[in-house]
Amino acid sequence: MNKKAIKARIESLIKRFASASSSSAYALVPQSLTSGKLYEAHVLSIVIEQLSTQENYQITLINSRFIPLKSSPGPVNRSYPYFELRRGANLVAELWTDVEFTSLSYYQRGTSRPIQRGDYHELDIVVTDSGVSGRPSHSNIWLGVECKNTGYNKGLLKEILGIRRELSLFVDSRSTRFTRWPRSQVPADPPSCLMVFSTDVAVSQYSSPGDVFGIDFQYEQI
Amino acid sequence: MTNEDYKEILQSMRKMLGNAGFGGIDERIMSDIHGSEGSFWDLIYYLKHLTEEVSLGSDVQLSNVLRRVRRHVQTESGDIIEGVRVTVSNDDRQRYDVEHIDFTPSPELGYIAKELRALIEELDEDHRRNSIS
Repeated sequence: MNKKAIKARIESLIKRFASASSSSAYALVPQSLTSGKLYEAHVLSIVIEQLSTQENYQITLINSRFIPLKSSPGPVNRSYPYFELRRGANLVAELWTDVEFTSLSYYQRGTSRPIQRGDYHELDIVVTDSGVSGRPSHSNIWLGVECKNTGYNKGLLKEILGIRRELSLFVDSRSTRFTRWPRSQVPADPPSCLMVFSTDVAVSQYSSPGDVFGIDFQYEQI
Repeated sequence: MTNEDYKEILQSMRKMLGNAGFGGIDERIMSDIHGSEGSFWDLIYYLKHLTEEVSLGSDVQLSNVLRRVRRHVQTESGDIIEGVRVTVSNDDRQRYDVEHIDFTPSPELGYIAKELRALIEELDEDHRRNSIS
């Protein structure tokens, strides 16, 4: 074994590394879909990290060895992959991605009526009660997260204010299901947390209504 | 080989990585090194971290996601989390002719990581042999 030979081996490996890195395995799929979903995966990894380090959940991925996302939202299907959130032996909550929930207005109107398109809404990432299936109700939601890999604008603000409206009533501060992260108190009943992650630094210019209604806006670059 | 040799190999490797556009990886590894236990161990430490980086895939965003999730999430089987899978809707399935879209580190990166591990073993063995003699 000599210095020259080792340097040559390393050089060859680094060249191969550079070459393998530049080839894209998902070139056939539109960039808008891949970049949006990779941003969602990025935010999901941050949410998981916070739930583990700040809230001390033990997290297990069920039904897969791949971090699960969907190209379109839908109801909870329990044969799909999801994350279990445990404290010790106790299963306390679940984390699902790209899920629709049934709205507060749907329950206010009375659930005996047939469900319509306006009665459910999508969230990119949700922490819910354990054991949910189909479209969880607004009261099953502990945390909802929206991921926006795009310029933030007034339309997106109005959209998230609508989600806040359809998750909870506006009330005096209530304790959330979390001790620290994302927040321990929220002016909402049921007391769900709601977050927006955006790649647009301008998202902070839209955050003031969230201070009142309990929506946390976070600028998060990839 | 001498300590000077190990030092020179490490310096040369760092330069190669920088020239190949992987300055960020070099920075990340160096920021993890707290103090030095000698040239040989610095080289081994660097190679081990480089192997980890390579096995995660060089797409920085995907690497960061996998690194973070693997640290905090277990699978039912105890296997490592392989990547990100986007399950496509019926419409998208017809449009792109795929069942799902996987974002994973490329297999080639796995082979490179394996060869780096073999190099670490050879260096270690060579170092032990020299220490005895």
